[in-house]
Amino acid sequence: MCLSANKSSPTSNKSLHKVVVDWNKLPDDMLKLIVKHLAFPDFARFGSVCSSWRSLASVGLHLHHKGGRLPWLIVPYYDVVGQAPPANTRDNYCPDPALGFFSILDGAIHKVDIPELQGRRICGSSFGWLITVHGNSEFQLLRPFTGKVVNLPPLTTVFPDMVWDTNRMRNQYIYKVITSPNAESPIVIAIPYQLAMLLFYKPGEDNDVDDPFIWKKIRGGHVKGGSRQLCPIYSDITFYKGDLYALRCRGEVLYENTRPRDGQVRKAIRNAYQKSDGVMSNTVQELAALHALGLHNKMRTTPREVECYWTSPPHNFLKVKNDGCARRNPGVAERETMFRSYTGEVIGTLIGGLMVTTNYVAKSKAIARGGDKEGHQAWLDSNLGGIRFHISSKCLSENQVHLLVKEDWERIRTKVNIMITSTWREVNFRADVCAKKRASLPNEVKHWWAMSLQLKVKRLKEEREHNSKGDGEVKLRKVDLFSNDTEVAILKKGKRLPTSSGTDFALGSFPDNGGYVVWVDEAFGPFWGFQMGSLKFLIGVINKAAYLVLYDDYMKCFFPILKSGMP
Amino acid sequence: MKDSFNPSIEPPKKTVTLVSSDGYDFEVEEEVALESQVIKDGFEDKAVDDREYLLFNVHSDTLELIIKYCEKHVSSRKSISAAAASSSSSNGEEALKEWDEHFISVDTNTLYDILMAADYLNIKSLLDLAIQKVADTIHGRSPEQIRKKFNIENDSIIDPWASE
Repeated sequence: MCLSANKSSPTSNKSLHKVVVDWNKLPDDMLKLIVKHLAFPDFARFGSVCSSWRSLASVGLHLHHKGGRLPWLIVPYYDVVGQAPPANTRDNYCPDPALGFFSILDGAIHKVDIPELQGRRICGSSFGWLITVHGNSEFQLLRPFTGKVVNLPPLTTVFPDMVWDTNRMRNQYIYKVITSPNAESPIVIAIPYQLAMLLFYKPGEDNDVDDPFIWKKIRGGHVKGGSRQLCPIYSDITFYKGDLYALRCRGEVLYENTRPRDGQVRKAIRNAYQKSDGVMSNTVQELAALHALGLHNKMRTTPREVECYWTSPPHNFLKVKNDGCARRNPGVAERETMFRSYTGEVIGTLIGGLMVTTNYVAKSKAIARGGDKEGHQAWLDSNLGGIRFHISSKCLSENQVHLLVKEDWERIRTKVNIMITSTWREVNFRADVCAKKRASLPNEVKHWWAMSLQLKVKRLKEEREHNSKGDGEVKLRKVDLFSNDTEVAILKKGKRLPTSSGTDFALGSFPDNGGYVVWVDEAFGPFWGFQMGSLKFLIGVINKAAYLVLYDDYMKCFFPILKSGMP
Repeated sequence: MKDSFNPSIEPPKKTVTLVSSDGYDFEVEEEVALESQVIKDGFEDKAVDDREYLLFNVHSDTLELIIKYCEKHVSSRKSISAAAASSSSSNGEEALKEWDEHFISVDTNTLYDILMAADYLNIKSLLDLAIQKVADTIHGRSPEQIRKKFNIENDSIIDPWASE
């Protein structure tokens, strides 16, 4: 042979060559060639060696559909195809250590020799484990391809005082068995033949427990509100998202948590339930399902309805609506006071800024400034809300007011002709809105806004005077109808109605509670009063319709295309 | 010179130089070098004096083995055909198979090198042999054992059999 290698010393640099060979990086076409040479079970194992091998294995037969895998169907395997199954197949166990694996993809049954299976019944398959039981009460977890076996406590430990024959032990003892999804140390949960309990076992935890290698029995489970004294019958168990759910024959869903922190999971479920958009109609079934999950529907207080009216002040009194508010607490504060005569007309407003103070100071300052009107009897009305107690008790009776408003308060305390009341926000709307709006405005705009408001009041006043020259009362009422300055609302506590000050105008203009009805009643007699009452309802309806028309007109201004008529 | 067109007629005394990745020259007979499909493909275009092949991907150790394999196959093919011509017993093939088996029973690192070189040089019979060897190594082993055998790190977080 004429190999004349010029290699001087091929062995001398062998150490240089010994880089670590990376089989992981084997080219794909080469791997494909290897795969072609592999028989089925080897092929399955080949796929689980590493990721690049698995991805390649998936190209062939080894099943991937967008990350999900097609399941194998385990079938009995007979050597002769088409042969009638042996008589003992009804016993449902493997006399031979071979199984058929039916693959949907190629439609073929692959034979796999699994020597561990001989003489055992497969009583469950869960997360890649086969759970097998033998006639001699052996109970095992088995990985079919890798041959990994986890021994479980023998079945005789469940009911030690009972004697079973081999066939019944193998075929009937276990009704259903599943494992938890964690691959390495799964928890095994089984329903034994009489269905009255769940059996739990976690491999590898024997050292911690006093009584090792034994099944833990759980009979009742945590069913809140369930009937504990009755013997439960379990129909099915399953794992869903790491939690165990068991179905009992009376329709109860039992929720078991195999993880240590029970409360956390329940909390998670409760949170999900609260966040869910699902509409519950509080049927008995729904409530029962919630109870089964350990959740309880909360009672909510029904909304309380409070009626409040704007009432006119007595004769020769000024009604002084005032409010103050701070943007934050403390923050930039504003106060707003609105004076009305006994006829309901606005005779003036008083708007003022405060320094950075609290809500409390702003409100009491507004009251104090509102009362500081020489020569008038004033009815100071404001919505005090939570600080009503403070103002009524501290400021009035004990004269313990805040340092900032002390001077003002001293002045109005000496006045005898002053009445201070508290009311709801909804009938103090104007003052409330004014103060809030001004507090939210930037500084440079505040002045102009106040100016515009005062101008508006002035214009209203002039208009009113002009109208009252005609036919008195009726015209006055008419103006008030559109002045948007009186407020009436029906307040629902807990469900705030967004009332604008213009929705139900005019009622406040009349000296008595009851609005139109009272007024018309007095003027024209009870019949017309009743008529007015019904008309009022009608007017309400017409009003709403009129708004729609107005809205439509507005829209036409902005979007000329609408003039052609709405479709 | 077109005499290399049919090497069986011309006495095969011509040699080809193969240069391994670490710079060693191997002078082999034409016939042996032509076992590689890659060399055969470009063979005609090259001048006779310039028959030197730089094999950047093949280490000298591997190249030595591969040349050994090719020589054996060339010689045994000759002997087989000679035996067929003289219609004597033909146990040459079985002997060759045995020899192959012995040849390929190497450690996995060398096997990897042979596999890659056979792929690079496109020697089909050697590639088949090496791949069959890999498949045989995988056969009957658990994934754990396969990883250990081929020195593969388990980079898959999920056990593929652990999902239902």
